[in-house]
Amino acid sequence: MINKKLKDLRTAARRLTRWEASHQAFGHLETITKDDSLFEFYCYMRMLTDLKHNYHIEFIKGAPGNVFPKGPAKKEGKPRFHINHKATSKKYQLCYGTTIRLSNCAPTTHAPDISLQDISASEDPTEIDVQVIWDAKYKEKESSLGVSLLREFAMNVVDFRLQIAPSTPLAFRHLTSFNTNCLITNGTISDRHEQYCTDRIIRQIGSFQKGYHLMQTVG
Amino acid sequence: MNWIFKKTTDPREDNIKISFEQKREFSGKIGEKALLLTKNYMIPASFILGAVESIEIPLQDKHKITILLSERSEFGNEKPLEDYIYSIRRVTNYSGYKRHFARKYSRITDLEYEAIVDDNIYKERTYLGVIINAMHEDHQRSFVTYLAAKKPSLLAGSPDCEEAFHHLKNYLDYAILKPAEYLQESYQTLENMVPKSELSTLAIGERSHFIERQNKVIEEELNMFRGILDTIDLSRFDSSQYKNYFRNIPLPIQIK
Repeated sequence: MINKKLKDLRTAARRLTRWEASHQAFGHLETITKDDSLFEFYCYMRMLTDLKHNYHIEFIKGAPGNVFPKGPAKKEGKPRFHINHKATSKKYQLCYGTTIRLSNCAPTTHAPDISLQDISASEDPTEIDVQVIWDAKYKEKESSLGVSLLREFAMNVVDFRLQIAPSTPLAFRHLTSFNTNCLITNGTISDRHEQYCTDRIIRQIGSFQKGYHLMQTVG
Repeated sequence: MNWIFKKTTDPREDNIKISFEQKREFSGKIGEKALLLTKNYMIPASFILGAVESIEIPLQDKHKITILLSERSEFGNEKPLEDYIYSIRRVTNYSGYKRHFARKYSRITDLEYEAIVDDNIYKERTYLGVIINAMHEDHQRSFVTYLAAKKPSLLAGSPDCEEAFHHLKNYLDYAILKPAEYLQESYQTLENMVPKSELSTLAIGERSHFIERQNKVIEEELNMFRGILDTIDLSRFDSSQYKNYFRNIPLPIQIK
């Protein structure tokens, strides 16, 4: 009995901590360069699931391969989704992890985790093409977003010269608080930075977890 | 004292003869307990030392020892030695534990013998060691970093395996199981939005980090792994003997 249990634990711990094909580590690592990519991608998918109610969703293939990037990557060749409002036909690109150039200070770029871009945005977009950005931060349980993260995100919003919401707001079904520049976390958010967030047209979204819809928002 | 004898073949007989040569005398006594270790490092049965014969080899300063293992008592299933290494104090190389049993025979204490025969293992240390040493080495390092932040004393002095296991469970949930669930749910979304022909090509971060393949692994392992972790209730075990025996021995973490 004990031998079977230990064998199962050993096999599962080996398989669940590795990517099946590459044998590289799977999951979140507590190393100097923290890897939040699975949570970031999850947020992207949750938004799409929600938008599917009011939008036609079109998958735009990558080339070569369909690799959603981890960390900043050029937009060209990366897969993404286009959304097309079912009633109004208003279209946007919803991009994941790709860089956006700052037109007045090339070659500086930023790569928000998720960005809403005009449907006409090119494969080498600038801030002019961007409507709203979202960043995701994976935390352990009760950890909260620190002010340095908020400041960094607010600076991106300033650099992209973003407005508080897209020119035509997104028709989310449930995730209506996502209709602005958001820093999303599964952890907690800090009320005391509310004024800071409001003034800088950013919003904190906390407790964003699997199967859990009672999010907290500040800003 | 109790003994583990290596034998490349395992004749299924009540009595097994073991012979070897060595300089010193064999210190085992008739009636002492013994285990057999096969070439695959499995333990099929326990025995009693039935006879010990020692003959001096002329001019070679050696003894030819012949031992009769008798009163074979078969285990229902062969026991992998690997499952007991965290209850045997001298094992420090967990991935290369076989090296500790390279000689023709080894001695083990009563506590270690009972761990194998009765499955009365040091459970906290075994669960901890089995999981950590099966994890990807980047996760092993990451867990040490995590532990250093949560409770650094566990990495020094006299560590408490039960407390370390509690932190390991939290780490697994945070660093591996939750991200695995994120991938699982993400895959369900993709199934509804991406043409079937493209699904198997979708990857995150690296070209070979295929979402569909990983989702299959998660489907096969996640619930079972969570289920076992949830049923492990260490408070039910009395490990006081082991705690004493492993005092000042580091946690069973081996980082390359």
